[in-house]
Amino acid sequence: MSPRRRLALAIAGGMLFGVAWILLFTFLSTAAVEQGQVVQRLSEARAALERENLAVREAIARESALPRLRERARALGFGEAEGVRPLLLSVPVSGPVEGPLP
Amino acid sequence: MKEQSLRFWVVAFAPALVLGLALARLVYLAFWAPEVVFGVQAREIRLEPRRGSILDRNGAVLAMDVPRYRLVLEYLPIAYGGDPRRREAWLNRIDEVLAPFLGFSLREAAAGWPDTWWQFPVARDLPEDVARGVARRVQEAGLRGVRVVPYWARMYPEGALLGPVVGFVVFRPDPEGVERRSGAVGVERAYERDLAGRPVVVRVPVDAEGRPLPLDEAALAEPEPGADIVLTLDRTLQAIVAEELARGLQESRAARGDAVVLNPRTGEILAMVSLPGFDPNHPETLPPDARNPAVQDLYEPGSVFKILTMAAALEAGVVRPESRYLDQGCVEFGGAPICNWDAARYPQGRGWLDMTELLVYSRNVGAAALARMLGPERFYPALHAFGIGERTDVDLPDEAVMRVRAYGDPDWREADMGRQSFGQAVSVTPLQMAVAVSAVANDGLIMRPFVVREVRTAEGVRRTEPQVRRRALSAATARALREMLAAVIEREAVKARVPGYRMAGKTGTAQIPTPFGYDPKGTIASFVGFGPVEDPQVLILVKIDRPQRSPWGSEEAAPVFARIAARILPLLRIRAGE
Repeated sequence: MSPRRRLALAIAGGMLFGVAWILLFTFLSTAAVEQGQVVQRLSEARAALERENLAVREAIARESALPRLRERARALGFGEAEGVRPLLLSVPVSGPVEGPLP
Repeated sequence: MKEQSLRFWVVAFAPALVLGLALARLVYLAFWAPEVVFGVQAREIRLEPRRGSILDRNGAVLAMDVPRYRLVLEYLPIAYGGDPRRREAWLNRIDEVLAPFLGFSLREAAAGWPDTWWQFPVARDLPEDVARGVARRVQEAGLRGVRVVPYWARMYPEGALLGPVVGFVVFRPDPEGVERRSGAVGVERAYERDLAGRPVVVRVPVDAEGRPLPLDEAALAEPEPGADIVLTLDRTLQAIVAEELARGLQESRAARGDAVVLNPRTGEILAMVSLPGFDPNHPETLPPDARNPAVQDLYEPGSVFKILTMAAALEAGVVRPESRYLDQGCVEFGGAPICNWDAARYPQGRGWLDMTELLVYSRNVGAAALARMLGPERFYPALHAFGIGERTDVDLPDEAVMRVRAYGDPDWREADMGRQSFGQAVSVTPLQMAVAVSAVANDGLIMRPFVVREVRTAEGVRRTEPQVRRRALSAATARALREMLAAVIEREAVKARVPGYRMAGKTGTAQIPTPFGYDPKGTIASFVGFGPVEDPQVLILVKIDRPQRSPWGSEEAAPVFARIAARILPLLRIRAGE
């Protein structure tokens, strides 16, 4: 084989090696991206669960708000205690006698 | 041989050139200029944090961030080409899939889409379940260019009940010039730094359709949510106060009013109501001057101010509760006349009265006599001790304050002191007046008023401890004055009586200053009281502006005070007396 042909083959081999190396680099990058996407999907799933949790908290807050409680009480037949004076009772209560500490 | 070699070079040259150029470009992009790739297809994403919640003292939610979604259409030329027919077909397909579910035509919603915009929001404020439904249909139909974008919306479940105190949020530019939500009024504004949280900005490479390609951990960074805030306010007490104040306004045919309930022992504000209020759920509909009048609006307090004049006189020892003075209908003070409010009925005054009767019959002439006995050297320091003319240091924003024209000031006249002794020529906010009187209820100590009980951050809980601001008068003077104020309710302001409880308080009927003197038509009717007298645990101030039925505090504000006290004292587990 002539020196020229040897040189040409060496150049072609070097180029092929370079291309192979870059293909490997690209392949590894793609794998990293795919793994990253898996992590991101999990992260998004967690965020979605958190948002769902907040949506439930919102529903609870709305249902337990005073205007809504009044509305529900009215629907159940309860009305405002207009003109009713509270009857205050004084009841003697005797609590437990505190003893010495053990 | 030579011919063979030539053929080899001719055949090998073209592929070698192409391969070489491709290799050179790949090496350049991979090692020298990766930003060329990422620069073209990278997106800067700003992730907004969830704003902290605001809770009442029992944990009821008063404000919270809720997830909402906007539906955005993205027509990317790289994916769909610039062909208008393809764009039309794309919109038709989206409409076909989503319109039956959403109940409106997306084609029509996108009618105003400018040609120069590559994305266009077609719906907002979508709740969680609708957003999920849309996302599922988009995925099932394989639609491209439809994005469901989450964002945070502020929700106030109690509506207008706590609007002025809790406040609301608006969009405004931050120091970096980015439009962000920020508190505009009340606790939302005062505790902006705690509530806001910390956003993150991530720069991530994206694919041709704009989907992020996470290449490193930085792309997964998350914003830090804001701290939760627990208030001293009790929404049940707030609702009772609002209900009774609204009833008072309706009965007296008044335009507006305020009420403050606080614990004089600690300075905790239990309720703070201003009517008409506003609903923070719709900040875009609010007037630009939406505010918290209990902290931001000044008024002349009128006769409730006599409590402070009497306290100063008792503390200085110039009088004792049983000391007497000759009440005349009108007197001259610093060259100006000072008359009792009932001078027409009692032109000669009520004769000899003791100090309790001075308060019971609310004598302007008597208050001026006390100021004269004190002299300006003792009168003004006493007002200062009660915090008049200075901020209360409450943890709410933009507290109003007006300088008291005092002895030594170039614009001070002796007549000013006479008027100030019964609450004219001096301006306070409802909260400042309540805090000043709270010294009498708290054995002479003035506490710093506060509305935030604790701040719950990721690092821990920061509690607000009650803080003594200063001693305004001695405990003995405070106790004596409490008895005198109890007599006011027992003997004169009978509409302020609370069944089962012994309360103390004072009425106020103040004229309203205008640039042309006092308004002859309107008054501010107020009442400030506390109880039980033996162990005061709650102080209530009621202020009604321009009542039409009767101008007097004893007629309009006192009954509101009594109704509020009768309902909230048992709830606060304050035992009724004998």
